[in-house]
Amino acid sequence: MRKRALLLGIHAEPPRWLQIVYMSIVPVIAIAGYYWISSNYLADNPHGKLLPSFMMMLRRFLVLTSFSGIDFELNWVWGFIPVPDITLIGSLFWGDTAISLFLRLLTGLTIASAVGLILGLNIAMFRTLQFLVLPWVTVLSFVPVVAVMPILLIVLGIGEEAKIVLIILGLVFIITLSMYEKTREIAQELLVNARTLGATDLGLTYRVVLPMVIPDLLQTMRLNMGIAWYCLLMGEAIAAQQGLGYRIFLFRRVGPDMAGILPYVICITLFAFAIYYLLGCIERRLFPWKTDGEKQ
Amino acid sequence: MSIFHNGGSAEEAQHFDMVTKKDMVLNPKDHLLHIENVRKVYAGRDGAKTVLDNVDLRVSAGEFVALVGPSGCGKSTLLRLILGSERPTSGALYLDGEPIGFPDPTRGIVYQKYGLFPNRTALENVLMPHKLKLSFSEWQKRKKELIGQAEHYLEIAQLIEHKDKYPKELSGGQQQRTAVMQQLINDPKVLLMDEPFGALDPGSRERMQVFLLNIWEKTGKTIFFVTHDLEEAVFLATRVVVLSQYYTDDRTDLKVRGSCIKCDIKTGTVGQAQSTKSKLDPKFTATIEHLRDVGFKPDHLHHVREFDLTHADSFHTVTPEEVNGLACDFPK
Ligand SMILES: Nc1ncnc2c1ncn2[C@@H]1O[C@H](COP(=O)(O)OP(=O)(O)O)[C@@H](O)[C@H]1O
Ligand SMILES: [Mg+2]
Repeated sequence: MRKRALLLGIHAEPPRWLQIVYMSIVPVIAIAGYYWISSNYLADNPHGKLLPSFMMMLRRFLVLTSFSGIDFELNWVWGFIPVPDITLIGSLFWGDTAISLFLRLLTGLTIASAVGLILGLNIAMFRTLQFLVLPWVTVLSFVPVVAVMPILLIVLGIGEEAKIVLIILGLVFIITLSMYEKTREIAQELLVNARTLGATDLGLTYRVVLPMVIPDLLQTMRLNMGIAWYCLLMGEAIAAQQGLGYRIFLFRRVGPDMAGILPYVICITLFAFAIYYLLGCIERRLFPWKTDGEKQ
Repeated sequence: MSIFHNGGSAEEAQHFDMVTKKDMVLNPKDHLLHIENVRKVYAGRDGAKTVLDNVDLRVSAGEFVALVGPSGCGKSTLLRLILGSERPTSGALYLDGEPIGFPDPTRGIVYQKYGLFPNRTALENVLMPHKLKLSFSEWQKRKKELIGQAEHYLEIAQLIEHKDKYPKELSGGQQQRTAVMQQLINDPKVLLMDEPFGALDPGSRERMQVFLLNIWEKTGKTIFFVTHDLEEAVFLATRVVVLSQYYTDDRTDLKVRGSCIKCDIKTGTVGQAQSTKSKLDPKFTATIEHLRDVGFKPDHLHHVREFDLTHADSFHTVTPEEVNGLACDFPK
């Protein structure tokens, strides 16, 4: 009998420990490569700022994250959405994180998904809306949000609203169209069956179909998180006094402070991945009935 | 007017209660389900396609009618017309004398698949008719009683230990039993079934047939059962209706593409399968052989052969013990 290949071939089946070794090859090479380049650079320019060493980044990051107290304040966006404004005194990084993640990203995501879900669901269920709304939602989904940004800043000013609306605009049409498609994919037989069981128009829409597309909503959000982050950082880069995106662009202007920028970029990537991973877990945990792949 | 204008003896003609002019003027109120001269044309890419034509059918309350026919002959289309999710091109359908409108709880359906709500457990699925019909406060008030009733139904279907499973976690037979129980709670005037056991393995299929017969005998529900399996049709139904793809208009001797109800075999000589006992009769096998000829080979319609009993063992017979073993108390 031939032995199973460890490295190459379609049927390669390396043991667990070897899988981990394979997985770490790329990061180890990347880190070692950067270390080598950075130390050569610093040997030539002892006061250079472009390629900081890992120790310099760590020291800078510790300064940015240390804090001495918490200042909590409740703000109201549009007068009715409560948003906690958490300022960790002395800690730029955690203050930025709180503002970016909890105020801007979370509010934008929540509103965009609620509106997208209700809009997409109703367009799919009620034929009139397919003429009234669907074509225009499709057209609007092609408008690049970056192009709308100046208008937003003119109309809404540089407060929180403009930045939240930017995230909403980036996501809401995509979510609407996706919810429309997912609702249409539900087998016609099932809808007819619900009718024979006594469902009214509203019962069919909100009691039968809505619960069936919630997992699809989470999935759409998860796969489009990149857009949300993109809009968030865009908005913060252009008009803000606080936030992860604001800080990176500020570091560029003063310095440039590469030892500050790089840890921020790494952390933003980690946050984005953590949210992606968390949404995936919630999907599997809350909706065990969902069949993956083939439809029921 | 009989289409047995030549070849068949008068006796044979008697076996077939054919659609006649006299029937056409029957009052829709006389039968539970009354389908009159229905025609359904679909606009296809290669021109209009007549799927159903001249379909006349009447079903009385308490009957178990099986509709047989080859794949693509329009069986599901006819069910969609009865449900009301599609309208006939011409003709009329009545339930209890009332013209059929949009789908509503007077007509229930069990499909081969897609019948159950994937996001609800077996128990929740069976409770759906109540949840959808009752207002929230009414539901809260009667919740306990209704859940008790639903659990009793699940017990009858031997599903009680699976009540918290989602459809994807149930076997094909369990899923179909859940769908049948959902419809029994829904309590439609006529229960439509579109090849409900078509995707099951032969063993579960047989058990499901016995299960369904049992329920029919206990509840007296009117069942309109579509299948392409002649044996299943004869085993289950009190009356077998054959829908053929090609229809020969004997009155004008024209060959017409489309379909019509070929023969409407009444309980009695051919549709022996009225009580469980008579289903085990050797005549049953003969019935199948006979139907094979008339149902699937319209040309042979006039040449009803002698029943050939040598084919008896080609059909699996269910023993009376098997039937009785599944007998159970059923709530009326
Ligand atoms: N919506 C439709 N548009 C066009 N043709 C259809 C449509 N629905 C069914 N048909 C055609 O009608 C015929 C009968 O279909 P169906 O009722 O599903 O047959 P069966 O259930 O007997 O297998 C098929 O040839 C099918 O292609
Ligand atoms: Mg069909």
